[in-house]
Amino acid sequence: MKKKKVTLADIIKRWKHEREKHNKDYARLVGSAEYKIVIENLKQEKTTNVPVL
Amino acid sequence: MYQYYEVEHLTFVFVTKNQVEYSIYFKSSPYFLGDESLPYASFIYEFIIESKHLDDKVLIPLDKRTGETIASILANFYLKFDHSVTIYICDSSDNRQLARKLKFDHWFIDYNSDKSLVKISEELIDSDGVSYPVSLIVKYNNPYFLDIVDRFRNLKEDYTK
Repeated sequence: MKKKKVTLADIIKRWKHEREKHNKDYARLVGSAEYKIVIENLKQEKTTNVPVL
Repeated sequence: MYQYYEVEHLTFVFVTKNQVEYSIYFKSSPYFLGDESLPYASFIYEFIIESKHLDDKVLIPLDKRTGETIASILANFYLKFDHSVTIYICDSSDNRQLARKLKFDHWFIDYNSDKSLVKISEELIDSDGVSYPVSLIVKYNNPYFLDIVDRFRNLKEDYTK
């Protein structure tokens, strides 16, 4: 069966949908207790850097 | 450079001297080049920069260390995931997409000193006429380099027909 060609409009529509989901994820992240602890630690430079491979 | 921390998988946070909180995401986006069955589709990520500060009406002051930190996060990502393709789309919801693009372009030029990464930019326009500056970042040594660049360039062809 021939594949349906995906158009730019399809991609942008999907991207907008994914961005809406992301915005909810971001709101959840910044409201979370873990985020607040990490941010406080970073402000005081207590958090260890992510190790570089 | 500021200290940063991976608060969730492929989500990094840091805080600047001006108390701006940045969250940097690498969000899996296998659909972006139009075919999720491509051998490299699972390595396509959208690179998202979120910022949060006390007064959103005030522009974030220029801060060289912010660019250094974002560049370091990007460089470390490519150290771990060599064959990744990242897509950076400038948010146009507040009409500041060109300012974001310029800032991102400067960061990229300043910190891609070893020239290991290639950035290709396009402007995509949706059916409502809204413009989205989009950059694709890929390593020169990506085995699918030519196909990736070709597909990215061809995205624009859709609306010029």
